[in-house]
Formats: sequence, C-alpha cells, structure tokens
Amino acid sequence: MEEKKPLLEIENLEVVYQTDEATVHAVNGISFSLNEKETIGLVGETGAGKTTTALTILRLLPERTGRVLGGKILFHGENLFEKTIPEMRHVRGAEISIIFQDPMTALNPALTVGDQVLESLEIHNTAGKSKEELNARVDELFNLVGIPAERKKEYPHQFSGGMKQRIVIAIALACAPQLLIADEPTTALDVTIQAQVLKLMETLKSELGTSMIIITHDLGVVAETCDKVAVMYAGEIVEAGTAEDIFNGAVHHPYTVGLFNAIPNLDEKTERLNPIDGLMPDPANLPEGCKFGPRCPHCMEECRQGAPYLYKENEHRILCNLYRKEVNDEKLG
Amino acid sequence: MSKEKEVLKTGQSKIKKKSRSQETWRRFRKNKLALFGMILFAVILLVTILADVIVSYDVSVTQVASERLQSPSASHWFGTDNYGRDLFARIVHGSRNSLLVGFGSVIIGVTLGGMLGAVCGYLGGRFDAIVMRVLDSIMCIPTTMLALAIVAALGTSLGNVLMAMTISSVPRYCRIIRSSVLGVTGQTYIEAAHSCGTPDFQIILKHVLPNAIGPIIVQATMAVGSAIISAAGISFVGMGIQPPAPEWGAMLNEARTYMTMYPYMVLFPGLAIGFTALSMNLMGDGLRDALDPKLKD
Repeated sequence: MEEKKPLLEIENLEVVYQTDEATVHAVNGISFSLNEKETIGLVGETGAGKTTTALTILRLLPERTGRVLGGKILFHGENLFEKTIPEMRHVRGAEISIIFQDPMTALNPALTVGDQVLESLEIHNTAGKSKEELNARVDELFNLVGIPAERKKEYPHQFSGGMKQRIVIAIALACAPQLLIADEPTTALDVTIQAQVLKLMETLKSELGTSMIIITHDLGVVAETCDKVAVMYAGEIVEAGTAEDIFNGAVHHPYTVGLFNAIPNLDEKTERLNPIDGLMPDPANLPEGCKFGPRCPHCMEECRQGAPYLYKENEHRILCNLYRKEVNDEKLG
Repeated sequence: MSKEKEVLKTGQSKIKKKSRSQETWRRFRKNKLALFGMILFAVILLVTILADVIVSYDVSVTQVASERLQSPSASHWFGTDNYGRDLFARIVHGSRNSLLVGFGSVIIGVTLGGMLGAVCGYLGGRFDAIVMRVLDSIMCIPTTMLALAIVAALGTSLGNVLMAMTISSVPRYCRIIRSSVLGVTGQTYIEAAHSCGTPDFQIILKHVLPNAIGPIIVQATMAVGSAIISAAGISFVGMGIQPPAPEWGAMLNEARTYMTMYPYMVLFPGLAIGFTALSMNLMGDGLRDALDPKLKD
C-alpha cells in the first residue's frame, strides 16, 4: 500500500454555479486523493455535487455559470487549473476520460460507432500511427468490450442500450487513459445489463490497471467495484474511507447510516424501508453549521453553529460532531 | 445469385457489409420519386454539357427578321421570339448561364452561410450576437435591391451577379443552420466529444453539422429555382447577363410583352426553370432521407 503513488489529488475544491438569481454552492471544499490502480466511489443523492466534481476535473464546467472559487486538482502532481487549453485538450481523452450517464445520447447519431472510436484515437495520435494501425486498435477495443468488430460500420441506433454503453466505454478507453471517470455508468441501464457493464469494468480494471472514479447512488455498485468510498452530501464529503471502513466500520456519519437504512435487506422481513427524513437543502441557500443538521436525528446545539468536527482514524474520515472526543466521553461516561 | 451460393458453400453466415455510399445509394434508389428527380436532373445536365453538339450557339443569337414570332414547328421546335431567334437553341444554350447562376449562388451561399451559422450557434455569446445583428441588418434590405446595388457598384458581369446573389442569400441560410445547430449543441454527445479532447473546429464539422444539415438540404434545393428567377430580375433591368446572350430568366422577361398572343414564348423557358427546380426538390428530399441513418430501411 505504501508504494502506491498518488495519481489524482483534490484539495479544498470549491465550485459554484453563478446565475443572476442565485449562487449555487455545488461543491464546498472537498478533498480526496486517488492512487494508481485504485477505484474510488463517490456516493450521494441527486444534487450532492458528484457530477460537478467530475466535470471540474476535466474542466468542462458550463462556461457561463460554472466558477471554481478555490482549491487545486493535482494530476500527476500538476495542477490542472494551471494548464493551457491545448494542454487540457490532451489530458481529456488521452489521460483522463469520462463515461456519461446516458449512453442513448452520448453517441453521435450521424456517425458510425467505428468512426467515433477512431476519432478519439486520431485526435491523440501523437505517435503518428498509420491508418491501418489505428483501425486495428479499433477492432481490438471492440473485442475488449465484447462487441463483434464487424459491427463497427453500424450506427448507434442499431445497438441496444447496454451495447451503446460498451461502445461509450470503448471510446473512453481508446487512448488507454490513466484515469477513467464513470458518471453513473449503470443508472440508465436495466439490472441484467448493469451486471454486464460492471463485470466489464471490473475486468478492465484488473487487465489494464486503470484508476477509476465511479459516481453513483447505488451502494451495491460501490461494494462491488470500489477500493475507497467518499460519501457526498450537499457539496461536502461527509464520510470517506476504504470500502471496508464504510461497509463494515464501527462508526459512521448519520447520513451514511441513513443511506444504508434505505436499502432493502434480503435477510430481514420489513414492511417499509427507512428513508432519511426531509430533503437535501437548497444548494443556493445552505444551512449554517453542519449541512446535514436539519435532517440529522442526532443534531446537537453545536451542530447548528460552527463547521462540524473531523474525526480521523487511519484512512477513515467522518465530518460529524458526534465523534468529537469530549462529546463521546460525555456519552460514554 | 452466384455470390449467395458462394456464401452458402463456404458455410459462412457473415452479413454482407456495404460502404456508406453504397448504403445511401441503395436507400435513395428505393425512393422512386427521388430517382425520377435524379434522371430529370441528369437529362438537364447532359443538355447543358452537350449544348454545342445539340445545336450551334450561333443559332441561338442569330436574328432572322423573316422568321419572327413563329409558333412551334418542325424547323423551330419551340418556335421563335420577337427577333426571330430559335427558342429551342436559346433554351439549350441558356441552361449554361441559368444553371451556373442558380447552382453557383446556392452552393456558395449555403457553404458560407452554413459555416457562419454553425460557428455562431456553437460559440454563442458576443461573437454570435454581433454576427447575427449584422446579418439582420442585411436582411432588412430586399434581396433583389441588395443584389442590384452590388452589381451596380461592381459592374455587370456573370461573376458579379453570382457574388451579389450569394451575399444577399447568406443571411437566410445562416439563420436556418444556426437554429438547428443550437438544438444539437446541447446534446450529450457534443459534451462527450469535448471530454475526448476534440478541438472545437472538428466538433463543428464532424458532430454538429451532420446532425444539423437536414433542413438546409431541402431549403437549398428549393432555392435553386428561385435563384434562377432572381437572376432573371437582375437581367431584366439590364444589370445581369447581357443580351443577346441567352438566359432562361431573361427570356421570360422578354416574352412578357407577347404573353397573351404567343404564350409558347413564356411556356418553354418557364418549363425549363420549373423542371430544374422540380428535379432538385425531388432529389433533395430523397437525399435527405437517404442520408439520415435513423430512417434506415
């Protein structure tokens, strides 16, 4: 574990969407790091800032509204915010690539799928490979994702949803990126296809050694694929740690507990699930103190005031006052 | 047949793959109307190319006083005009000027307007605002007026007529393309192309335009006919193609005075323009359908 080099380090990232009416605080000072060949899962409900984080890494935030207020994103130790646009263009696709949520709309309907895979190869063809070599690579990629190479001359509408997602994955993998961001790769797919795609990603991870950021709200997906997990809530990472810490750890953030309670348990017979009460706060108007406070069953007076306490144990981090030493002692004592 | 047998013999059930152009042609061929349009257009094009073989240019400009205003007959298939020139020869040779102006202005106009509209729709912001306001102000001037003014300023020649008509048609094409580009730019696959590091120019050319081109193909094919008519208007006020050179639109204008007595003088040039426009429309419709992969089979 100690030998692993950090590939991506995010420090205190703060992103807002600025419109005439309001400033939406999408990401509020998150930090995490990812080593080579590791997979991290970003979990959280809709609007927690997961996709914004992903887009910020690639610097693809909407130009008119998206603003990065602070923080650093270090990739191989270089700050991505300091790169010029042509340098960034090289990073996109060749070093970091992204798989979008909905494969139905992520492919250009007017180009054959083979051409779309080829395009990414051509753009990043710095080695000056010949057309034949590139085409051979396209065939190779199709085989890799389990689609017969003969079908590369067909158009996206001739494929099923799961196959389209595999083509999207083939495009993302075309230039053998070091980091793959999968933005809810299975949300738009049905369960059997989800399993196929997850299995494919698992194989790719073990064969190619690509690091991944998997964005999802499905804890099952995380359990299956991730080494590390970061639970996001209202633009903050409220709990982070190894998959072991999150799934089997002794202590948790109340939000993580809530998430787990909302999953049906196959062993026990329950009439109803226990969802977390209330809704995510409006990111344009966040509460003071702990952002989860208004929905938290353990909310205390001090939670409404300052920023919550950061509990640390090895790699496990929890942003919650419950684990502040004195409070704990008081409770236990 | 033999090919099918071969496949059966080798026992390979491999699906026969066709190139994209073959595929497009196969679908185009299915559309009988489009095929008719293409044949009609091929005939017109052939006449244009072989004009000198069919009838000598001299016949179309020689004035024979004794044969003025003759009805169609065996010696003059389409009759003669008020100067005694053979109308058949004039239509055959007029096709060169008419088609050149008609196609030239549309092709250049669509290319320029299309590129400009695509860039505007894609980039948006200040650049878009400035270009669109400039084009709006050009659109305020009636097309023919603008074209006339340009020709008057630059002098009368076929090239200048072409340029004038192109400039006055660019704003329209630009607007059409821009609006369909706006719809395409918001699609996920454009964002996906960004995320692959595709340069903007390539995104416009490969991802935006092919998906936004549909409306402009139809518009352009219909515009060929009206471009020929507009060129006729310019010829009419003496600023277009100079008489006695034949040109369909100009022939229509000359025949105006004689229309009630000698309707064939209007009929034949009119039919020539009409058939050209018709062939283009049918072909354009068929082409748009054949090029759209979503409408496959």
